Amino acid sequence: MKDLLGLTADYASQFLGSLDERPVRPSATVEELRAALGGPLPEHGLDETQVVAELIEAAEPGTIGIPSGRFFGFVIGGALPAAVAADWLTSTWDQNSAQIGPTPSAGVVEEVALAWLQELLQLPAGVSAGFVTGCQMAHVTALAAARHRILERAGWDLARDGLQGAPRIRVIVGEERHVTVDRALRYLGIGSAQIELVPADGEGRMMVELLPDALAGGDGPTIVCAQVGNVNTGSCDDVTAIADAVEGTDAWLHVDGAFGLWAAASPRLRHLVAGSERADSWATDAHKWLNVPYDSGLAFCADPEAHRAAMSVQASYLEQSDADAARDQMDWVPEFSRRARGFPIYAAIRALGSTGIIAMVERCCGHATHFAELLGAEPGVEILNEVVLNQVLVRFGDDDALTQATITGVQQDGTCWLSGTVWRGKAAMRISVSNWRTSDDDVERSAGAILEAAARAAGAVRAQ
Amino acid sequence: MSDVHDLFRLAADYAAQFHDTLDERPVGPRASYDELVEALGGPLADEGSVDADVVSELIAAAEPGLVGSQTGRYFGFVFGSALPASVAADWVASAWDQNGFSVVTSPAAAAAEEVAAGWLAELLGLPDGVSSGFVTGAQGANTTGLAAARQHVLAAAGWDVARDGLAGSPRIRVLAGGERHVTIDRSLRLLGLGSSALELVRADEQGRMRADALRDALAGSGGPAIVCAQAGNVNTGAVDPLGEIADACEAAGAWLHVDGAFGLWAAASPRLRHLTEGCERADSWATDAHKWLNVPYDCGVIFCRHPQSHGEAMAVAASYLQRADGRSPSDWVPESSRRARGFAVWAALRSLGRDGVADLVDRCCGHARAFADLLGAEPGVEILNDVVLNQVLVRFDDDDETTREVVGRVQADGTCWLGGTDWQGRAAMRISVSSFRTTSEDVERSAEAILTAARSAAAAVG
Repeated sequence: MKDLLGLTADYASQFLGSLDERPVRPSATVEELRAALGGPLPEHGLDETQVVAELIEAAEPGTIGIPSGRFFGFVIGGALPAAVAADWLTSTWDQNSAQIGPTPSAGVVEEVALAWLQELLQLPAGVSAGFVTGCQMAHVTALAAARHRILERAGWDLARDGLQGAPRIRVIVGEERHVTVDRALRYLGIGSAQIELVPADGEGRMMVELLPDALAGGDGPTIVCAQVGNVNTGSCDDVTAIADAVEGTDAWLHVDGAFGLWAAASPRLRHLVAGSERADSWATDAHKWLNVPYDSGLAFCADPEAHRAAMSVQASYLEQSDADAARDQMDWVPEFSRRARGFPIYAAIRALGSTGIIAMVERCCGHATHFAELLGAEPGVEILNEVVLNQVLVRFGDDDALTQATITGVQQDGTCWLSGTVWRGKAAMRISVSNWRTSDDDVERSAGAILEAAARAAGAVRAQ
Repeated sequence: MSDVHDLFRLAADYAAQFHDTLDERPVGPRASYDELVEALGGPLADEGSVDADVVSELIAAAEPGLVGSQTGRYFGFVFGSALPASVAADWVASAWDQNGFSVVTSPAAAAAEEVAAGWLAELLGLPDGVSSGFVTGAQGANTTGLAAARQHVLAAAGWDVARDGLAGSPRIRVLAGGERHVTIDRSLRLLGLGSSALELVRADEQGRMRADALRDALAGSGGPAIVCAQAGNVNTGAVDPLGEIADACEAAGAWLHVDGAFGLWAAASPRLRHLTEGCERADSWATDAHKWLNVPYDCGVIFCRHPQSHGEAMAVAASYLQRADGRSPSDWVPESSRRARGFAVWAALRSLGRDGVADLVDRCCGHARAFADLLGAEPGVEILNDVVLNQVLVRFDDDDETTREVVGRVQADGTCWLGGTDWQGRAAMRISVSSFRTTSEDVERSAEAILTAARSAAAAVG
């Protein structure tokens, strides 16, 4: 065991230490990876050191450099070394973090981390929280709590009677909400036809002046989903105006803040998410901006009773804690047996402290602004969004094909990695800065590589 | 990066030493809740700390509150342990920090899952062409399988649940055995099917659904129906008569979902496979990898005979079947961004091989029988279940109070750990053997500790 884990530790530090020299893109195709990892089900066992050596050899070429400071794809985040090490302890200890009685340490770190996160994210005192796999399941959790509460207000016992025959739920969302909201609603038995879209402005923010009419345009149990941090532009809905519109109605206000909610940690950026504290529930990720390893997300709820009613479970063999005396982890999430997700979160917060978290969030946003300046200064390069947070949308030669060719060129070059999107009908390069490791030098090197790829793409177009 | 190297070496040395000393550690937690809050808690710090200090402090503070589910003498719930190769692979997964969302976010994660899913389907005797998803556990697998079922049976009734939701849809009947696992109820609730939609089918004294009762219940039912069968009752380990249940479902046109959190692994053993016969005829199967395959938490697997319905229920976008670049892992699970769970499963299967998995399953079941023999030989000790798999229910002096007292004393003693349950109205001790580490000596030592506790409890209660 010592040799095996020692070798793994040596490999991991060597891997992370060599990120600077590696291309950020994967170097193997899925076909090659299938061949390297695949084959028939092995009949016999293999020495574990050999297994891990083979896994590394076969799979490493198909990894993408998410831990690199020059990975700017999607909104992914890196992993702080202390969080990686705590995640290793999590695998080693292998606690089934379902209940605090059988696994007290796993339960207590969640309680401690909950209090720290509530303070960091400026959420109201007394919120409940579930440590889930990511923002997708945070939506499922929070919207299940919402579904429970609004149907109860309508006199419907959801746990007993389900949705069949229940009053029809309306869900009002901004046109540019994230797709995970729709997916969560589908799981919960709320169909796409029940989702009402409020138009969004040029930055993807819900046009809040239209919300009161939308709310008045129907009746019945209603959920409103706001967004802080549009996945393309990083823009945040005006949650204060949304909360004003919702106030006085029976509607539930949910905030999707997968990464954007972390702006609340920063005194300089906090104004972007003002009003969020007035919501009924919040969904965010820890594996993005807090930089803990995958997977880790958080559902917070200002209505712990609804939260627990929607999630908790009873069984005779569980010998459950008294709900008032202790917090059983599984009562707040859709999972039952589960990984002890509190340990890496705890370690990340301890390693950074609040000042470190604020600095990390602000640094990423500063890098995004720097990207916009470096790229936007070039003729023919257009920054499509107001860079308010960590996201930058870039368009080249005001042309879809040229923009796409530039993105492909950057991905192939391997200095950095980013991907494309379509923003309001136009192809765009999408840069997201959410890794603790990203330095000024990473940004400058990457901007240089992007501009070279743009020049190559333009040259290729001219040559045709 | 020498700081990182030192940090990782610190974690590795500690983990190795932790594993090496498992035998001497008490299996139960030593610290109280208040002590743990004191050690781990405190206000949010303004300033950060050195990484190595964070990790050392976390170890010092949390270790006394760990439960020794890694030892060979942990018999609580059905927890499983973690094979060294899968722990190391899970470490690599954390270091690579791949987002197993799609082929684009990690070709390696996607390929490892595809390969591991194929191996698992073969090992578990499932039909060719099943779709699969790596989820957090059997709870997530039940949710996924039942979401696929909901999609499928409503589509057959002409209802598009993805578009129109459940309000106003044709009514779905859900039938499950009286002794189904509570995760079924929980998944149904999440999916918007209330407890009143669930019809309980009588179970026999081992907790198996009665196939004749199911046939009666399904008779005359023409509408959308889902049947939840169980392979491996959480108390007795008993497996429903899956062949007869499949017959009844076929006749009624009902979707058959099998909850096989641990019991499905009987199919991996030529000696035990007869228990799950008929299981291959189901429409969906839920199981855990973190239990009997002994990979670290959390990891479960869903398989489905109907990839179309599975995809329509779960996929991010409707284009899921046409992805040119290969199987997108998140299209088959409730998660979007997600851990690359395939690496640890791949490593577990590679390190054990087909015969190693069969041996692991057989060995655990043999240990369960040994427990039943050792304990059952003692006067006043009764084994309440047929020990067909890895579960043993033990009752002392046919008395609830004595039985609970024995469980409490065993937990306090620390030689081994196990819990109590209530089986058909009677208190029982519940022993589950699901760790690769458990040896015959562990069983003997533990049986001895249990009998010692029983004697002292009888004296105290009597």
